[in-house]
Amino acid sequence: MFSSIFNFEVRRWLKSPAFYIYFFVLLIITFLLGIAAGGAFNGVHVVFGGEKVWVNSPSVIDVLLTYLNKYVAIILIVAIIGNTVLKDFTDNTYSLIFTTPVSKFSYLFGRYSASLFITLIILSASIWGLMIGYATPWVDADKIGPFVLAPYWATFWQTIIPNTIFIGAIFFAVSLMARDIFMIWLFLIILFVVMGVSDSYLQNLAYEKIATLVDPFGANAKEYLTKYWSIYEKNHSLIPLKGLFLVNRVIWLSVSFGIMALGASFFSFSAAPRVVLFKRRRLVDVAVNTPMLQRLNLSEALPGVHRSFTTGSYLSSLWSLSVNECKTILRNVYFRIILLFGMLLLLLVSSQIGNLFETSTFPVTYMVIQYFANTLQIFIVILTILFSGELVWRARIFRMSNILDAQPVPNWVYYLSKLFALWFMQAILLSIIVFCGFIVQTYKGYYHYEFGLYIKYLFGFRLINLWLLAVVAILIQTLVGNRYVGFFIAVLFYIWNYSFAALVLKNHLFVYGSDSGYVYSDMNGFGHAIAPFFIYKLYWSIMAVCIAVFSALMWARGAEGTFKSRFADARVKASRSSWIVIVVGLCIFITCGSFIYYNTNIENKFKSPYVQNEVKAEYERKYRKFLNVPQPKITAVKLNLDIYPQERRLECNGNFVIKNKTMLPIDSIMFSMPEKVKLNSVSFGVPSTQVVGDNECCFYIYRLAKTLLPGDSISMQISTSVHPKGFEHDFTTLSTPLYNGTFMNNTQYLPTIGYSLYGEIEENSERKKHKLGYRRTANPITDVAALQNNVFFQDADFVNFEATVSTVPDQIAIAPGYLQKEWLKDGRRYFQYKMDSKILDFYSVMSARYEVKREKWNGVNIEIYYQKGHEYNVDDMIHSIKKSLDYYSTQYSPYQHKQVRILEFPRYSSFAQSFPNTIPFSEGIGFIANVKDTSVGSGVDYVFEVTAHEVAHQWFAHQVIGADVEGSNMMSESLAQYASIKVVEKEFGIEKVKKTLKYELNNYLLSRSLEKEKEKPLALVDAGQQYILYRKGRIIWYGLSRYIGEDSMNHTLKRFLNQHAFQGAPYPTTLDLIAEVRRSTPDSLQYLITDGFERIVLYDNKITTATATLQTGKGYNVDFTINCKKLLADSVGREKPITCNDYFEVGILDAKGKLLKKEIYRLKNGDTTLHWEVSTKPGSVVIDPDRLLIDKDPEDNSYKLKF
Amino acid sequence: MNLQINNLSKTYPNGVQALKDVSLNISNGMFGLLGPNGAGKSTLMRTIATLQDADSGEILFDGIDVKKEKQELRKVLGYLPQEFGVYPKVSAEEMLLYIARLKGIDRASERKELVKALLNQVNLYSHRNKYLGGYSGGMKQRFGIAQALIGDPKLVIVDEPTAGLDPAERLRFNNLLSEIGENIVIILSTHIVDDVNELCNDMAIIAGGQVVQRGNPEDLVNNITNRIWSKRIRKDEIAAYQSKYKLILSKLSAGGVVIHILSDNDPGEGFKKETAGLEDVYFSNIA
Repeated sequence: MFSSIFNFEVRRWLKSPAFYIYFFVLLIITFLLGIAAGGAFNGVHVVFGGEKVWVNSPSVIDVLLTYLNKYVAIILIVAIIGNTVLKDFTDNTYSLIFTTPVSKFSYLFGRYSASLFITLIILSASIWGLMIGYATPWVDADKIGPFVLAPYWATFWQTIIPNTIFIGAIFFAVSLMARDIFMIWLFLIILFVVMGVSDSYLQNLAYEKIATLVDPFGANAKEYLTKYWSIYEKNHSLIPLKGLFLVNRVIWLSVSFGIMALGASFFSFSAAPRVVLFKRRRLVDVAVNTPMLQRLNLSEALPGVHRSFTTGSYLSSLWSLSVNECKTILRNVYFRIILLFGMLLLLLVSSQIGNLFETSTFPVTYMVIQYFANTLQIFIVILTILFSGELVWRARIFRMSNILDAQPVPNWVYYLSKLFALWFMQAILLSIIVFCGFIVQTYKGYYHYEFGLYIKYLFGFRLINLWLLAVVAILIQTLVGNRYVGFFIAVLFYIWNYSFAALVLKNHLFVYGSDSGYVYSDMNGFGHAIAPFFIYKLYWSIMAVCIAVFSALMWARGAEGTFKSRFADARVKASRSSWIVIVVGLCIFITCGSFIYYNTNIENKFKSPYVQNEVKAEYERKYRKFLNVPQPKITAVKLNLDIYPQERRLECNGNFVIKNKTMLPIDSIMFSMPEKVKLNSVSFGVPSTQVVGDNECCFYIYRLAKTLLPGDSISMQISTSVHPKGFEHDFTTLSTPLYNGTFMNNTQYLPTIGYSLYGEIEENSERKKHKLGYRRTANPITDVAALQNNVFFQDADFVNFEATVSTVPDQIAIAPGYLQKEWLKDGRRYFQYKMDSKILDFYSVMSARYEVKREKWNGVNIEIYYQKGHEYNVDDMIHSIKKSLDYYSTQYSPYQHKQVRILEFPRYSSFAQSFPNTIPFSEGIGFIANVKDTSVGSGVDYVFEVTAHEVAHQWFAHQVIGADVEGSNMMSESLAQYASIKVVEKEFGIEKVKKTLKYELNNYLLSRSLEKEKEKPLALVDAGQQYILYRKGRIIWYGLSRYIGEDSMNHTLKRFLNQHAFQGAPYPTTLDLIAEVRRSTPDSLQYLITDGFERIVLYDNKITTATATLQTGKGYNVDFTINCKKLLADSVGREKPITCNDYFEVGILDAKGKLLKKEIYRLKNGDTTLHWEVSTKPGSVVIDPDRLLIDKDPEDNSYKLKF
Repeated sequence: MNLQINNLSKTYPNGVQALKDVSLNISNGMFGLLGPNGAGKSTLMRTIATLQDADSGEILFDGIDVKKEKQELRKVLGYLPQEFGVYPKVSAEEMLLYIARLKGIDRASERKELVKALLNQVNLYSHRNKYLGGYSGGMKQRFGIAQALIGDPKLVIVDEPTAGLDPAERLRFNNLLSEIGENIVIILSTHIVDDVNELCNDMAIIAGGQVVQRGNPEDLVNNITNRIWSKRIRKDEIAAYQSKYKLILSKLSAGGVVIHILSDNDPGEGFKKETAGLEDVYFSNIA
């Protein structure tokens, strides 16, 4: 019986065209995804899991298939399982089936397993698609490894099959209990709530393990297992079915079977569903007394009415129809439940708002809105797609269409009533963000409500995108002949349009609903994003109007609904005006598009990343020959800068002194200009003629009338302006003048002398596409010529600096240096700044409406320039500056300046940057952090820490700077990281340091596999390898300081600074620094320097077992075994074990994590068993409790004791 | 008021020819369209009601070309489809108000009054606030006719309204139908002969997509008066009679079978002359 039902269902599906459509669509999608990932399309750059990770590696295959499975398959499962199980009810055949002697088990599970089987066949198309895609010759050979079947199969049976069973079980059970497709959707949404909550907590390392178990799809568990995998492991290892992943699979498979059993037990062979939520009552017809035959004229007995069929009356019909549709949605119990769940979701995730390194931010309005809106986005999209189907098909589902379709109402009235209802629903969903936002802000004690901002952000910016989506969703449902096919297409459309279209089509003009983007900042509001945003939205709205008119024309009405009959109806005379609207609309659409094109591509020369790189390639091909041509260096800078914030304009007049520091005469000066900067004029101390003036590559050469001899100087005057015209394709932020909060550095408005390597394409994979050869990521450390230049600026050493900056009267303009005077002239405010000592050729200019807080410390002026309302952490920053100055100037060398200034800039980027005595600091990190809130854990106080880091750069970067060779960045970034963690340690103690180091290690291990070239040892690190510079660098330096002692380490740095501060050419390299460190390190610890700086070494230590027993009267005996493993890794993370004979800290903590006892041991490879006695009750045994070493798997470094 | 159907033909994509060159001219009053299941009645009704298009031919109502001016026809149409559902969680009153709105009655007070009167007439007033989902078959049909009568229609199409109703409900419903005014065109499609008998003064019989008879029910009956002969036979004799005569009707009666045949002369063999009824007209045309 079971098999015959199974066979019948399978055969039925195999005959259905839908089956083949689903299969081939999925096949084609994955095929395209496969070749795109493999780099088949020059302009399309998609990376899953790291540049060096093969596209057919187990981890990438798993990510791709899991992703597809999660989003596309859910729709398939609803369509197939929901459909199959509910079929007898929707087709009214249940009375036939239920009266046959088929057993419940065979009936239900026959159907269920058949639909599961069919779903899995369809899902297997994704595997075939990928395989075929990878087998094509278009895939880049660098990106693909040898073919192995195992990873495909592993993902299929470990992930796809159990997940399909799980989703299927839910839908199966819900269908049986409720016999209502809506309930299925409700559960789907609950599932998303659970997933959303678990994902938001996953970011927090403390909840990581729980998150792996809560996720029913196992993705978190897999991520947890493989997160620290190196490139080599990602390419070669299958994701093992073990540990938390195995537990996860077992739990959720059991849950699936439990759900199925529950559903089956609920089911009985009866026509009526068990009452789950609502009772249905049948009415008794009370009209039993037959009315007597009266022969009265019924139609005349009715009151006379006035009818009208004017546009006005249609509009009022539309109004009441829309009200009716909206009421229907509001009255829908499921919708109410969904709303409640949405709110629950928001409140649950609200504690994670702005959570960064376990520190939260104040719930400022834009943060709340952004976090909530992003959380709810997927939710709203699902509901939009779902309700588009329900609204369009409602009349047909309830077979009410026979009556309604014959009513004298034009299509557009019906159409618009549905559209308005959907728009209304979206607006309701957005308004719960306002509601929950107020609750959360109030709950967190933040009473600065910005109702206007909520409205602007949600209903001005976000809603219109949803409305545009709604128009397409309804179009799709109008055209298809089956709701589920409609859902499927809508989901595909969504995924395509919002993730891939931009990659493939590149221009916003071709990606439905897209725009140039916007970012809200408390400093700059929506800034200059508003006009382009609404012009783009106007453009797409016109398209939407055309789509809407077309949808109304094609509105399914009547019994047939074939395309032919609908077209026939759409061509009648009465429809002519609609076609006119469409044609006129398309004309306006094209006009508007041309206007946008004029702004983005003619006024602003928008280039896709590929074309941008092509310009760089051209620059390299034409001018690389000048790389080693001797050029003078800048020795003095005098600037006149005029900022016009409201026009977003900057005028710059620079006066440089340039000096020939080479041994050869120089007859021509060459320089590169930043893109989008206008070069007004350039002149030199002697007459000159332009030899090259390449505006495309922004490269210029001037021949001097008189040769510049070695040691000679001349002046150079240059006038440039930055003035964006029209609007750009993408919202540009920091590099241009802003209404409030301008922040630009000299490389953004002034030239670089000589041929600049920064003008070339850096990434070798991209260089290949442009037929350029391999390029070293940095000069070799042995390159003696490169010692003449510093690693940041090749066209200057240390320079004298002064600047006069003007801006509008209500803003303050700042440049490095000391304020000499300030005056008002012609309605503009002028500031004159001058440096008292030489600085690097790196200076910022800023202008904003600032509040200023000033303090003094030992003769140093401390000033914080901040946005009104962002007072929260200003005092903490001052405190951190004081502590830092104190530590660095006593431990290293005196501070070279008399002031330190922190200046807030808009949150378009989240960083802080150290210019000479001037530190621009992003609004997004620190100014709104709430370091005193411990609800998300006692996290990293990044306000204090980042400030300390940036102040440290006044020493490491601004006093000592490395040569233009590999490794030099370590001397600025890693040392600033080290210096600042010391200040943190002094201020907060070791616990905060441990927490920070935990995040640093996590980040290092996570990022290794994303390496684009090769992982280098710390001493040879490249500028782009931030995970080494900042993360590993801090662990190695801090660890070393703990092994050799803080004093010894600081003396070393002091010596190094003494030798090299303000040295100029030739610059020091890491070889000099390491030699210095080796001098202070005892022989027994020299291995730490070799391992930490000169090669890539990881430990994989663990406590294998530990037992504790209570010795009455004496305390506790603790016996434990430590396993040591030391690994040497190559540049892709391929490891080999090496001998270990190293020093390790071993500690015992109590249950609260407090250290009871710590000892240092010298341990060899393999197991070492130890016996300790402690007086208080121990909680755990830990190797390397302060996290001083790089350990591959830090979790097993501690062992919880059981009694 | 006049509905003119000219040479209407319709073939479905699956090859079934539902209408073959149908022409009818229908004027005021209740017109009965009688035919067996699958004869093409509903196709014809839906085509008139603008819900689908014929392949060829035309329908004109008072100068309105139905195919090209659907919107115009809908303004004067009242339609009770053969099969229709209701939104389960909407009350009758609410639904009628909604449809009244669609029918272009733009004054709220008028809608209210009209719906109230209609609910009274169809005896649903006491149930007006109940959800339609709980209505019985008869109540649903009465709701259906109420909605069809909103907006003073000039053309009312009632498609198989009594199918599936119990006798009492059917009677009640037919009483209701009979009260609809005389000076508009009402088309009642049915396969129940008695419905037509009771309600119509003009009718057509449709079978296999074609109009096979057309006229006043009395005239049609008169045409065959004295030509219907009946006989009571045993069940096992049917085959023999079938081969010999053209049976127009055979019905079970008290253990035996009564057969009717059409014949101008007395066929003998014990046949008795039977009073002709519309049933005989119907069956003689579709047999």
